[in-house]
Formats: sequence, structure tokens, C-alpha cells
Amino acid sequence: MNHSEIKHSCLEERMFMYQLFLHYYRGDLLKLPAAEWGKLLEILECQPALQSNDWGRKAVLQLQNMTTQTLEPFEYDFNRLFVGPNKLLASPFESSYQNFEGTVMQAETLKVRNFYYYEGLQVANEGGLPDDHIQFELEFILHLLSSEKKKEALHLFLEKHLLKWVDQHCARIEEHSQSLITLAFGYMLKGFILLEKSLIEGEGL
Amino acid sequence: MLDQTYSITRHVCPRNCYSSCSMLGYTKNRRLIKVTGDPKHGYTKGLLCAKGYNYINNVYHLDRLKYPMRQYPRGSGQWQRISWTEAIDTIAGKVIELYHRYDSHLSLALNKYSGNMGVLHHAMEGFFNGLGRTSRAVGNPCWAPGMDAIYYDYGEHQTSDMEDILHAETIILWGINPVWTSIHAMNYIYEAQKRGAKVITIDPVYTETAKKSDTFIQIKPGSDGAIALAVAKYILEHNLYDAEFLTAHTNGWGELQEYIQPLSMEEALQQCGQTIEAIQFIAERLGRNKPAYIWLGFGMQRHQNGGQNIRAVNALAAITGNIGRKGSGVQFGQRTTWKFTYNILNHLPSDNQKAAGVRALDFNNFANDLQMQQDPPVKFLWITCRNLITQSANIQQLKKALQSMELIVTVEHFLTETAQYSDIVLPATTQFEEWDLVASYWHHWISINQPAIPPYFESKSELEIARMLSKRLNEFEADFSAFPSDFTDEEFIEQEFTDEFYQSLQIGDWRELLKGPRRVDVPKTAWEALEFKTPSGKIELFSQQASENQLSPFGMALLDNRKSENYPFTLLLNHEPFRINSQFQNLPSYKQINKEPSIYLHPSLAKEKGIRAGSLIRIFNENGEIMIRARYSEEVNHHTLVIHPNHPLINKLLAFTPADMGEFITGGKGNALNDLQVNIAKL
Repeated sequence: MNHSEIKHSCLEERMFMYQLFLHYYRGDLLKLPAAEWGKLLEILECQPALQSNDWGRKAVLQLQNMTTQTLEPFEYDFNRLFVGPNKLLASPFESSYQNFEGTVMQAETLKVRNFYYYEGLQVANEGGLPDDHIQFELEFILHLLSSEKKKEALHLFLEKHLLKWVDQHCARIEEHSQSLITLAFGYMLKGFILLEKSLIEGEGL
Repeated sequence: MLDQTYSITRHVCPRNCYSSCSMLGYTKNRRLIKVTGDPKHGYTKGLLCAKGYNYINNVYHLDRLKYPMRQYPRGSGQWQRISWTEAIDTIAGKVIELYHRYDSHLSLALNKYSGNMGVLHHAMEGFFNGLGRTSRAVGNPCWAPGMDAIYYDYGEHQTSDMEDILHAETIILWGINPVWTSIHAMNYIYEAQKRGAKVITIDPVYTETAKKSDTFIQIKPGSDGAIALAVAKYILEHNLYDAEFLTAHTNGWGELQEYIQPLSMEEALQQCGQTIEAIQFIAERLGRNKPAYIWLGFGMQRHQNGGQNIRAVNALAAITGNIGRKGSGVQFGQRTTWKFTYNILNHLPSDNQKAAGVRALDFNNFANDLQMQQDPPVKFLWITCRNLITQSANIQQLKKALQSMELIVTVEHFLTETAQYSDIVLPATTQFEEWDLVASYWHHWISINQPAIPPYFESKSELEIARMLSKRLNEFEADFSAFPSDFTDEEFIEQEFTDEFYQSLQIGDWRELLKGPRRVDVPKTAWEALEFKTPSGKIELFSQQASENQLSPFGMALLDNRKSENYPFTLLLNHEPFRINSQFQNLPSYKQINKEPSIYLHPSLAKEKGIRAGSLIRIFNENGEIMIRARYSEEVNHHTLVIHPNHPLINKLLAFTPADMGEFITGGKGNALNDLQVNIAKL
């Protein structure tokens, strides 16, 4: 396996993982039938980088224990952590980690928006939905990942934004999760982010 | 590119507060970046309070409700996000089902209060009216006894412009703590002091306002009427009354004199805990250092004799001729500037077969009435602008009554304790995301509120929710709801004004309010024409109307001896500056202030009970008990305890204790919240 093959395979896996997290945070997996979860697990078991990481393996192990009973509390727990209506236990907004009041729509949100503008992108319902919701940041990363030319911007965005706060986010998930699935995704994100960090460091950008 | 310019929009703080501040919102890149006071507001003059300056943290609070959510089972914490379509369909379906089940809309109840005082926030009342006759929480927990008292004495509710205080020689701040609860008033009071006025604070607590006064008179809670009576007796005995004023402008002075004369001065002094020297001081200030401006707070009327307390002070002012003249008057609250048409409430069913009006459920005894009304029973409860579960008496009974509801819908900004006990919560916009109009119950300025930013996530205004619901109901069944679903926000605003109102505001169109708040053209000094709206046309020191409502015709009376041996301490619920009841509780920076609920008690009482400062103690009465941290305070007397009612703990001790008045104006008696008798013990 030569160097470029590894990179190519990494990119595919990266794209897959970012897409998976995007769907997860958008709430698309909340209605996923039990049978589909089995298929997803099979795919995850075949992701080499994820399997090479302790947290990734831990996540997959968690999901292997999943039953139909596990699915039931998933939506409630997902809402407790990321949606509400209660006090959010693992905020999915970047800015909320950066100020004492924990408010959304702050300076970081605008910085993220500026990144999007630079790429000619804009969040729907701008001003109503904070641009730095993890779902939008993941979607933006996917956009940047799709072109080799945007590599620099991608690394900059990761360093200036997602990587700055996602560890805290994962820690809160670990602390507050009450469902096997949300915990598994918390582990998986933590593991994946470790891989992303090492990749960036390895590329020396 | 991000925009480097910002837009400025006008807003009004819609909270239940004296100031109703006009505010300016600064928005850049569709993001609210700053909130300031509006310098064009003639009363608040560009200043806000600590809460107002913190609105950005409220608007962009992480925990604000973002989506319509459904909970099953109720209270389980198992919430599902639903679409607005699903929410509205579920609610509309239930409304129709209940109508067909009971052949009436009485199984639908609305409980709304003062979480938002905006005119367009009457949308849900308007929506309920548009269905026909429904059940409704009627009454008022705040100012009901005082409003009746003012009505009996003067026939209408007026206040003077605050500038009027600058003409006063004597200022009596009676049971009011503006330093904490009405900060804008302080500049006027300080200016009056500079011009030579003497400020007297009469209060059971040595408040921050008392500390800034020239004289502080600490009375026993609820004894306002007793001290007024003692002063009146002194005035009478020392010829300090204004005979000319009394003859020309009052009704019943002769009867009142006869009534007062035989009452015991000693007993009055004992009841209020004063010496004759203190009484002489007040009497001479009122009689010799005129004009005297008296401001009555709301706490002193939250007693079983609360209305009488207010009437007693009204009488005192009348006896000394301190009404209708510049710098004088008894200020409580006003409604004369509320000249809106309230057409938002008047879109009634065109079908004459449908009954109109409301089946009243007593606001202050809601749990009881909810259980009592069974023909038909209430099955659907809509809660808005209200944290019902933390701000009600008889909490356990209320929770039990709520169990029989088939659907509870709460419109909110946050998941309050009430929202937690709902089936559906709907996220509401704030004043930075919607249109509205706000008047004040204190000053005379009207302000408009325009949207600055897009609604937070999927939140909607109450008006929009009412329109959506009305539209859906009519799609299910033609002509089911009369509330207009096709009016725009601007059209709803338009219909709130009349030519007369425009004239009074000296504008030709409501849009001119976007240039700045306007003062309603009412007299600057309350009752300056000395033409009262009572049956006699005079101040009624003897009120036949009160008598007909099974009340004493006289405002003045000694207290009944109602102290309980088992519960000898009076627990006062005094507001503090950083929260309004359960509002503003969840701002992290405010949580640093008074981190946990505390009870304030005098060190002498603490010593007697063996209570150490900072220790947990038990407070109990016949309604329940709570554990709370004790703090020493020399600002209260030995038999008085104080708590800031910004958390639900205290409600466990509260039942409905009817005040003497309130039914006449607000539709229900006030709750004597400050007659809360308790006992304490160390743990």
C-alpha cells in the first residue's frame, strides 16, 4: 500500500465519518429502524482507522450490545443532550463553550459565519439558527473535504473551530449520556477527532 | 462579507414592573449585539435596570426553547421534537373533540398572567374568546385589593407624573423599595431631596430605600392601617386637618371623625409598634410640610386587611389636603393611559348559538376551582405568560387537579417547572423577535416594540400561534374559530388605536411610535381637577359602594387579633433586584448572587431559637414545611422573616388566604401572601 493509497482510503473514511456525524446531529438517525442500525454497525466495523482507535473500538462495542430496548430511550436522551427543551447537557453550539453565560450566537458564531461566506455558503434561517451548531460545522467540513484545493481552509477551520470545543462537548456527553447510542456516538466522535488531530499534525499544516 | 453597520430598533421590556422601559436594540449581521435604554423615553430616560441590560443573555440563552416538543407521559422528561404542524393539529384536534364531547367549550381553560404585559400578548385570550364561552383564570395576585381600594375612594386609578415629586416637601415611601424594584424612580427622589424634600420610609423592613431616606419608621407587617389610624387620630386631636379641603372635596368626613374618635390610640400604637412621637412626626409632616407625596407599594395590600390599608392612607392624604395639588397625592398604580381598543379580544363568534364570555376560575384559588367546576370539567389547559406551578398557592392540590387534564399546553421561553408538567410546550419569541405595544401601570408613556432579529430557532409569537390554531380549526370545521387568521401583526396593531387615542399621543399613525415613545395626554398631577369618579364626585371617606360589598364603609380600622400561637412569625415575600419571581433565574451571572434560597431573620430571634448563621433551618406552618438556609439580618424585627420569592420553595407554605378586596375591579379577591404565618426550628 503506497502513501497515496492510504491518504485516499483515509479521505473516504473521513468523508463517511463526517457524513455519519452530520446525519446524527441533524437527528436523521432518531427514526432509523432496528434493522438499519445493524447495517450501520456492519459498516462501522469495517472502518479501519476507527477500528485502530481505542475510543472507536469502544463505540463499536457499545453498539454491538444494542437491542430494540436500547433504541427506545435514544431519542429522549438525544434531546436531553442536544435539543431540549431542558437545560442542554451537552451543548452542540461552539459559542456556548466560549463565554461565561454559555450563550449562543456570539462572536464565534460570526467567525464561523464568515468562513461560510468565504466559501459562498450561508445557513438557512440565518440569525435564527446559530451558524456554529455542530451540524453546520460538520456540513461545512464535508464541503471543504470534497476538494483538495480547500485543504488549507479545512485545516484552518478545524483548528480555529471544531477542534477547539469538541473535546469539551464529548466530555459532557460522557458525563450525562443515559443511552447506549448517545454514549457510543460520544466515544466515536472523541476517537474520530483524535484521528483528525493526528492527521493534521502529521501533515504539518 | 459580514456587514459592518448595525440597525437600531425600538423595544419595550414587557415584564411586570413599574418602569416598562423603552429599549434600543442594536443588530448587526442579524444578531442582537447590544441593548440600551431609550433616551427618548420621558420617564426612564435611557436607563435600564440590571435585568434589562442583561437581555442579550436571556435572548441567546442556550436553554431557550427551540422547537415545539411533546412529552409522554406528562412529567416523565421524555420529550420528542414535533413540527409546528403536528403541534397545531394535535391541539386543534383536541379542541374539536372536546367541543363535540361536551357541546360547549367550557372544558377549555386559559391561565395567563403577566409574564408579558404587551397588548398583542392578549392573543390567546382573543383566540379563546373567538371560540365562544370558555373557562378562564380570573383575578389578580398582585394588586387586586389596592385596585378596589383606590376605586372606592377615587373612582378611577390615576398616578402623577414622577416629575411631580419635585414639588413635594414631604415624600413618604410606604411599603415600597424602589432602589430594588423601581430603580428609575430614584433619580426623581434624589432630586426632590436635593430641593429640600424630606423622605420618610415606612416599612416592616429596613430596605435599601429606607437607608437612603431621611427617616425610617419600622412598622409591624400589615399594620399600615393601624399607623394611619393613629396618625389620623393625632391629626384630628391637634387640628392638623385641612378643613377647607375636606369640606370641598371629600364625602363622609363627619362620619369618619365619629368613627375614629372612640378608637384607642394606645391599641393603634401597640398594633403598629410605634411611639406617639413617631405618630406626631408623620402627622406634622403631612399637616404642616405640604405638599406630601405618598407612594404605596404592593406588599402592604397583600394582607387580609390589604384593601383597608390602602384606603387608610388615602384617607390620611385626604384629611390633610394632600391630593390633587402639585407634589401631593397617593400613588399606587394607574390605568388611565391604557386607551387601547383591545379589539384583539373582540373577535367573537358570529354564530349566535355560541355563548360568549368566560366561566371564571379564581386566579388565586385556581386549584380549588379547577376541581370544583365539573359541568363540564376542565380537560384542556393552556398556560401562557405564567409559571403556574411555582407561582401559585396550594401546589399539591394544583398538581392533583392538573392530573385530570387531558392536554396541557404551555407557551414559554424556558422549560419552567410548569412547562415540565405539560404535554406540549411551544417556544415563544421574545420582545426582540416580535411586534407589540406596551403601556405602564405606573408612568404615562406608550412604547412600541418592533422585531430586530429572526425568531430564535422555531419560536413564534403568541399572535402567530393564535392565528395558526384558528386557521387549522376552521380547516377542520368551517367557522369554528372567529379569531382572524389573515390579519397581519401590523393590522392587529392598527386596530388597537382610535382617533382619540392618536390625539392623546399627538400622533397621526402608530408608526410614529417607531421614532420614540409618546406620553399619553393625562394630567401631570393626579386628580388636579379634583373631580373624582365616585358616586358623590368626591373622595369617599365613607363609601356606600364598599358597604354594599360587605366591607366597612370606612377605610380605617384596627387589626383583628389574628396572630396564631403555633405560627407566631410573619414571613414577608419581598422582591429583590435581579429577578422578577421566577423570571431571570437562569442567568449564570445572576446565579452567583444569592446562590441559594435563604431566609433572613433577626439575630435576637436566631439566638432565642439556637440558630447559627448559615445553618439550615426548618420553616413550617399548617400547609407544609421547607428546609432553608438562615441568614442573620438586622433589617427585620424580631417577629418578621423575609424571603425573596424567586424560587418555588416558598410556595409549599402558601394557601389561598383571601384579602378583603379585589373582586370589584379584578374579578377575584387578592391573596394575602404577606400574612404568611410560620414557625421556625433549627435542624
